[in-house]
Amino acid sequence: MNATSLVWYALLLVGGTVWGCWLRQHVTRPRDWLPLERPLDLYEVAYLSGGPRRVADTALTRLVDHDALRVSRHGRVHATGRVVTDPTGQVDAVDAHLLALTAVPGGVPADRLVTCLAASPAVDFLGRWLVERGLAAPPADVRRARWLSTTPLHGLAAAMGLHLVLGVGAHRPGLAGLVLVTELFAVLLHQFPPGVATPLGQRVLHDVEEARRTGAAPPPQLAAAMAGAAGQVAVGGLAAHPDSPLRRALSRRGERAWAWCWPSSSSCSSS
Amino acid sequence: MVSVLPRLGVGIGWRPEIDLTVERLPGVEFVEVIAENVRGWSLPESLRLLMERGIPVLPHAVSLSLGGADPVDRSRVAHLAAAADALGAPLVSDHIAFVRGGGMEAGHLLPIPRTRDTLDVLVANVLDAQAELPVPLALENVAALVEWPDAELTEGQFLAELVERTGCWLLVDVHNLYVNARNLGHDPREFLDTVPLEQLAYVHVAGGQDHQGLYHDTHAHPVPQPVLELLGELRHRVEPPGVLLERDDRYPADAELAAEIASIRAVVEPAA
Repeated sequence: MNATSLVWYALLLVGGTVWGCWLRQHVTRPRDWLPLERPLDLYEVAYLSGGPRRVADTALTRLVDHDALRVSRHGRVHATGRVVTDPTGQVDAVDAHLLALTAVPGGVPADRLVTCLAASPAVDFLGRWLVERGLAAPPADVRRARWLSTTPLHGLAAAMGLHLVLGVGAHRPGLAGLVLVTELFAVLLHQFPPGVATPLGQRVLHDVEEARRTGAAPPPQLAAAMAGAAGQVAVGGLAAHPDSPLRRALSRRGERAWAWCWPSSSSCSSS
Repeated sequence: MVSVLPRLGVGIGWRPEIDLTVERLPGVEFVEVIAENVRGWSLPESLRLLMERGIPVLPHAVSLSLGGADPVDRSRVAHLAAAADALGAPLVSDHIAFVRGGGMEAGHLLPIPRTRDTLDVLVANVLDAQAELPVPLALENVAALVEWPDAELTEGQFLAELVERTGCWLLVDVHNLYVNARNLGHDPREFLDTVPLEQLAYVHVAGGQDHQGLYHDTHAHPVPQPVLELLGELRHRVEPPGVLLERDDRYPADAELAAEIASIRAVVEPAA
């Protein structure tokens, strides 16, 4: 490769990365919104902080905290038979779905539960509620932005790979290195999911976080929920779980079975 | 062979599904692990942690088949010995039962006929196993759904003679006594009066369930009150060195397991 080609490469790499970052920022732009008729609950805070998977991590942490679920050191989750209700005796839809997923002899791996719960109708409904109130970006847009943000980099790597294959005046070792660097950029960008909260959602989150710090969060129920491990996971992800063995157990990544998610499936106990 | 076993206290069966729970349950003074699941060179992190805390971990075998007509499988005894070494256990245990015969695995602990001929076979097998084990061997009475005909001895007499002839220790499962009382009409008090309780290593406590007219030793249900009362009967006769809660399925919430352990402690340590 000559100097001109290298300059073009650098420009395209920087341009692709900037495009990706802009797209990720753009997906959380302000949107039309309905007035917020009540304060957010724990799972809504989790959704705004980290999207559907954060809700699932938070629910798992909360139900383990409440002795409704047990996790082993190997990250296998079992139901204990306990049900967690709110003061009116109602079971949260997300909790109910999670408990239904764990009603399997032999338990279920935590990472599979998170994948399934994050894709569940209960979490989807929660996300749509936040989108309608202008607090969160639509999940489909977030997913699309994640993939599209890396497309130019993949395209650049593909074009250079083509040069490499065709060998058109190319310096093969250098070209191969640049293909790898470009793909590395793309993979790294893909590893970090875009944010979910819109500016309005971020403001609400900021208020919750401030109130949590000062111990004055209305309503009292949210304050209580945010004070425990589940609150810390909701805001900071599993990495913020204060109990190290539990954090390791819940973070274990094992098998991923996309075919299995719903308790009605006949393959529930095949793991 | 040592003549006195350590005081164990109150414990619970360690299972992988409840490893974190067992580590954190208040009042757990010893644990028992299924010997066949232990690999000395790769002990689970949870067991290593318990051992570091000084909590005895006892291997409990289920596959020696000491009551079977076949000679004892030396590789299984060697595995149990290796487990005892790896865990630093003060004793090991298995059951007064057979699990295989004629090359067939039953997959279940089957009761043996209480005849003198069977006792001779059992004694020979136990002596063989003891010769290969680095620590004392305790043997557990099993729950049975059927009884062999023409019994020459009661269960208590059978065990008393076994202890006398082998010097083995007793692992008395009070839930199994309750099961046999319910299903077979055995008298658990006669059992407790007959066996040499000075050779008691420790006690098992568990729960079960009625199913199709029989009471089953499920290890998946709460300990019933009559079993705690039977434990109290045993406690009136002797202070057991240890009592262990067995739970193998349908694990309840941590708080319920802790309450069961507290109930057991209230029976065996009434002043506590």
